[in-house]
Amino acid sequence: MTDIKNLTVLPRPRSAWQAMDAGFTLARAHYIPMVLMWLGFSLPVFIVCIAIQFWTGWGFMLVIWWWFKPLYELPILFFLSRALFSEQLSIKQAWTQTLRHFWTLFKTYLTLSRFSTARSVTYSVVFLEMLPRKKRSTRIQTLTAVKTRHYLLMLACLHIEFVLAYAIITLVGALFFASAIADIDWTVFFESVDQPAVQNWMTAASITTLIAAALVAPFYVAGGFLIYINRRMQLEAWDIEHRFRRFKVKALQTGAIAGMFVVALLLSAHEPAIADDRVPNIMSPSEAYQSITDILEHEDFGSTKTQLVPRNKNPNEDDEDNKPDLSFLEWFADSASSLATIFKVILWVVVAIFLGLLIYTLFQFKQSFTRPSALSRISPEGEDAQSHPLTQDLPIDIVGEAERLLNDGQRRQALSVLFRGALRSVMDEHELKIASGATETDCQATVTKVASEQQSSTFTRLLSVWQREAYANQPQPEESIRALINDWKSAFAQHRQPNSGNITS
Amino acid sequence: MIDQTKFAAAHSNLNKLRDNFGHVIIGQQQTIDELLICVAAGGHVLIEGVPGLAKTLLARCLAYSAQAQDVRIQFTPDLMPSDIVGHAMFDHDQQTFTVREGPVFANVVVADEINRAPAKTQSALLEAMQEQQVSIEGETRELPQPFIVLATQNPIEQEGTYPLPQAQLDRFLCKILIDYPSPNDELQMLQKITHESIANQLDLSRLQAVISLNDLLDIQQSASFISVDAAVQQYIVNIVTSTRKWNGIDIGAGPRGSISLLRAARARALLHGADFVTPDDVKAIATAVLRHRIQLTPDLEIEGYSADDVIANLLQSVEAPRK
Repeated sequence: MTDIKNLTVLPRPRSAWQAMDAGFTLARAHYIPMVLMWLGFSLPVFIVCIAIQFWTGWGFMLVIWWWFKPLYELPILFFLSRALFSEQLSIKQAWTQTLRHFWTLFKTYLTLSRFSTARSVTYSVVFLEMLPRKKRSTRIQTLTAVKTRHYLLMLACLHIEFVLAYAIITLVGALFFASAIADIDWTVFFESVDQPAVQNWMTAASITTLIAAALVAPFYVAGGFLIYINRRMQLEAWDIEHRFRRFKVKALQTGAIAGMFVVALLLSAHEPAIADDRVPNIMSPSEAYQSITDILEHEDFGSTKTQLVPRNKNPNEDDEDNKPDLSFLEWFADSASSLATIFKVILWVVVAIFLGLLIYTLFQFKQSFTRPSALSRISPEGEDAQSHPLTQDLPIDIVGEAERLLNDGQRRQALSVLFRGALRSVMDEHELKIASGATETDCQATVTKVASEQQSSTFTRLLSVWQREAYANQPQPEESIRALINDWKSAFAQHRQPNSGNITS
Repeated sequence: MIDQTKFAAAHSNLNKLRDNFGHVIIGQQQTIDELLICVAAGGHVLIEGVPGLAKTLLARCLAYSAQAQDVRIQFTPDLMPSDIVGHAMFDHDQQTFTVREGPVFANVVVADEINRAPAKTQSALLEAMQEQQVSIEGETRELPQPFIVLATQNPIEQEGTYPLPQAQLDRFLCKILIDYPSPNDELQMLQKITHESIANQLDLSRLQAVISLNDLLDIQQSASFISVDAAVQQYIVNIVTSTRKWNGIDIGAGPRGSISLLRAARARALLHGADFVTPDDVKAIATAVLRHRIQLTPDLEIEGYSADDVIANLLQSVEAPRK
């Protein structure tokens, strides 16, 4: 049982700001154990989140970690509730108490109430007062009836957390990983999350967020807790009680001196200055002390008492028997209450489905939230075999067509068909994409990378002959072209897929 | 029709120049190649790079290697047009006006930090570059051939400069960017320059003249005879016209861009010993020819993209000839 005489904070009326300040002082006094308590739950959750980020992505991972923040803060609250009354709770005890209250925590703070800005204040009502649900709501309403500024505490802590996180990562990055940061293209940061440099940056950013949150959390919880305590002081007059107690102690010390002083005065007087009957009934210090002690020790002090007093019935009031029977209304109220509970459950289910859909949509259309860079907006994509302009209008029988053109004396066209046919064959076989602007050298580099040795050498020879015929206007010997056609047959014809794409016969 | 003997000699001389550059300039092979392509194509060059990257040395190397007369003009805000092209002055003895030719009357003119002089002075040089002649006091004088201007500018110090207008930039065949040398090249440079020497740059006297001025003219002549197929010509036109309607480009290249691209592609073919131009030649030199002829849209500029990025993008889209 706590006693206000053990309070480590002077009980006096404070504004919300002063209460927060007192909370911060308390946090500074017990900072290290509070940070350790916070890390006790946040670190395992963080590690799990890092592990699952490969499936969920960084954004979702951070949301999950953030969602469980009330869990990390609860041990601090238990610790503070004892520390305020000069008691010490070990880290292990604080964690055990938190686990014992996990289900309550889940129901109250890990569902929709996670978005509550008053968590820092209402925490204490839920976990320290342990009131039933209905009384809890009334209690919270009473506590927050005046301006408690809890939302400003949350905003300030949130901003400090962000500033701290970015300060840490910028400092560490600039000092030790400047070259790695320089490798990151910030204009396409969100499109290149698969790159190692970006992955490393995200890991570092997550770790610094964890560190910053750990540093700020004790102040947030302590600030909120002292706002709560301050409201209780105001509502339950702790300050008055405290003064009474102090007065009692003081009276003990000064009582003897005051008594001697009064006796000396009485003895030194030859005759009373005032007639005895006119002397008011002044209480002696010892009597005052006794009186205060009696009040403090009386069982009624500090308790609430309800007293029923009989009174005479007013003749104007209606007779009880003449009152209409409203019992059906009670039944209706009960039914309505049940119906409201059902609706409440349905509403929760709807909200859960909506949230699920929202998260799913966010994942599906993640790309639409990140604006691509100006260059990528106008960048052409590589084209596959079916849509590539270089391979359009190709006949099905490449070899036959090349031979026909060669027989007609159209050497350039024959080589063009062979060249484009070879390109298309490789693109089909290896599902390659080649840009429209790829020149001979570009095509050769791509083909050499993926094609077989036979295909590569045939392609290289074909290119050489094609370039001389087409660009140098140097007619190539018919025999060498026929030899190329034969080589083409063995290198490319067997890999060709005759039914694919826009092939015209 | 190309004369194969002359062509072979031109190719050989161009390679001699390339090797000779290698004695003085360490690394920067692409820069040297692009410079030689401009020289072979008979064009003028705008070189951009931070100070200390051998821009002036590059120009002097060219003059030494080809036994050309070279002159360096340091462009400053108070430089007057007559300081470049020359002026007429009264001769008291003869009682007549005599013309004193300016430093522009040289084969290789190095216009150092061209953007530091006001527009009037810049245009005096640019007129000489275009017309290959200058007018002094109404008298037209031909410039010596070959006449090559190598202008340099510093990309980082923009205060107190007069950026060249788009129309004047068009006069340069290529804009060459010089980047820092690789660590290995820099080490080699360090050892070569400081070896038993108190100088802070390579001794140009080590350089030998490897070709004559006539050889240089023959190189230019041979390059102009290299054949260009109609499909390749169409490819060049397609590239240049694409710059005018490309999404990321505000102002595209003009017809002089097409002409320059063809000339440069021919010179590149010559440098590689080919007597015909392929789409590869065009694509390889297109960036150097077009980068100073286009102006990017503001959104691309804001996002930090350069003309090179956009041209690379464009070249991937313009269909290469295949038929």
